[in-house]
Amino acid sequence: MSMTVPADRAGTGPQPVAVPDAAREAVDDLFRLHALGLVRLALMLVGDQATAEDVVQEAFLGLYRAWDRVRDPDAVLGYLRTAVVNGARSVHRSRGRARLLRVPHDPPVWSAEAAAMDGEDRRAVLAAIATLPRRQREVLALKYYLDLSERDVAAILRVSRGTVAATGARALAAVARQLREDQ
Amino acid sequence: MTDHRPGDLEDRVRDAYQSAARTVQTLRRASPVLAAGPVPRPRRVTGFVPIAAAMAVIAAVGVSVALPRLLASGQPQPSPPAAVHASATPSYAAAPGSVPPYYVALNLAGNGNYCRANAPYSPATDAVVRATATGAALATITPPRPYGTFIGVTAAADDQTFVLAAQALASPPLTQAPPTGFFLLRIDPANPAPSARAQLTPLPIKVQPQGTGVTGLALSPDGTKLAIAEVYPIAAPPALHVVTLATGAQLVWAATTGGPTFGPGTTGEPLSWAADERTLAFVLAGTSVRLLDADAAGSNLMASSRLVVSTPSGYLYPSWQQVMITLDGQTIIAVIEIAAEAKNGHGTTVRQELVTYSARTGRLLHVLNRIPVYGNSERVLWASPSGQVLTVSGTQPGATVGGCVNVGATAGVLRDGHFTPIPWSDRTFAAAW
Repeated sequence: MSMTVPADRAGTGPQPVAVPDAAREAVDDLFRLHALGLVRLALMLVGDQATAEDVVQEAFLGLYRAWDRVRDPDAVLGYLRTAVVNGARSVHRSRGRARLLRVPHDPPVWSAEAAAMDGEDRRAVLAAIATLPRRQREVLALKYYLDLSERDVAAILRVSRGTVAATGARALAAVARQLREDQ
Repeated sequence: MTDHRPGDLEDRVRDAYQSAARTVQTLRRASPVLAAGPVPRPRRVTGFVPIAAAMAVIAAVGVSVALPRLLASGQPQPSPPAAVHASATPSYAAAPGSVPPYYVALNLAGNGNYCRANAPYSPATDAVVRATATGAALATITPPRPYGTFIGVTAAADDQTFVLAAQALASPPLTQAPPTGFFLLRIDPANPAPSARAQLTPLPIKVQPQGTGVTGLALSPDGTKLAIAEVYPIAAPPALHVVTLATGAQLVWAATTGGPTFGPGTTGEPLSWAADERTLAFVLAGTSVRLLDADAAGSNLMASSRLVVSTPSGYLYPSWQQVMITLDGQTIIAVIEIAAEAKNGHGTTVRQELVTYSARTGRLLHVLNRIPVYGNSERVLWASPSGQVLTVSGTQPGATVGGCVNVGATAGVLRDGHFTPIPWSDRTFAAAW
């Protein structure tokens, strides 16, 4: 299914539409403002910086492609956070699908192998969180890393506030249980 | 550990998250969106395939990959401006997998049987600036006289600075190899003025002495230094040159007489830089992958470098086809061609593997694929800083072009074990992002 463009036929195929400069500058500015924080959020979900940056890159590219449909500039950060959460889900799905090939990715920052974090308790807490189901991990990251309200978490995950509250409580209970078992 | 109140656990979770967040202090990658002016991004690739190696001859019994021949050198007079032809409108489409949006490809030029018996030593080629997502050609650069072909391309990390190696056309048999020259290429694919999308400038780099063959080229990520692997005539030691482009100053590390060379056994890109602008990975034929500190004193290639990966054992012959160090300096990505005795005991089978090693310990990390050897070797054309996303070519059977086995008939992005094809010209034999 490869497509080739012989040199002597270059330029005759369908051409993409040029996006105005304003969109590029706007997305670029948003990147400078928010990318570091979003990479850190993604890090909580995927574990390593390289993958986290990949996720954030895709989020901004998606924003760029959809820029002409952005109606509320104030909602852009929320859109990006949702894109990061979705991107992190894709990472986990891809990792799960890799059966025949050993997929290389850096060890999570909370692992002893990564030797990136100090504090055994901190590593233990994150390692316990990493064992939780996806939805619980997402709620914990949005609520306790970004310190978002349950309403804002619900908007990003597109679930009800009640779901956020219940999921968060179950997640904390599971982490507590895991930490007790690891003593 | 005693039971903690929920509040305590919440604080511990917050504290753990904040501690993890502190491990990320700077971003390794800049905005993926083109903005006004250059946006430095930690991406680079080197694509250098000696023509003699790229244009394999299909023999009756199979495919053989020609080895780099020794070339004579000579410094040409300042050349007239290169012809730059612009075509197509700028492409702003985002490339898959966050691969940089534009690249420079070396394409066979014209028509004909490039690999017929009396064909020129190196067929005519052009450099073409293309959009990754669509394959659209945005500018075509023809080699300036007296050169007739480009034999190598390498990129800096800013997505706009490249170096091309050019060579004059000459027909075998050769008593003197064609002269080789180097050019700085700066691209601006988004420029509305087609004539301004590519600018070629001669570099005052001398390839000496006579008989020197250039078999590797790597531009440092910041575009200030050019590493050149040179193979001298038989009985003379090969050498690695690092040229500071602003001043022309050269550092040279020579292998010992009679030692391994960059040539036979290494038909692909033998040089690559890490983002620290001083670690240079190279491979010597049949021996090992080594790392050189290009800022440290020394002139002996072996003594000044450290061994990272020895040639794998246990096969009839392993051959390093390509070695690349990731920008973060942590991983060696390699394509190895391996021959093993056929299971039925008759003859040998040849396969190629795309593998990664730890740059620190040399330990084999992963085998990313294991495929038959098609017309030419698999190539890694670009790698993300940690090597998790790769652009590769030669992983699928290709058609022949001009009587030669086509190099990189297909290319695509390899990520998380999934290969996504990208538009690719079947005339492309080298490319750099």
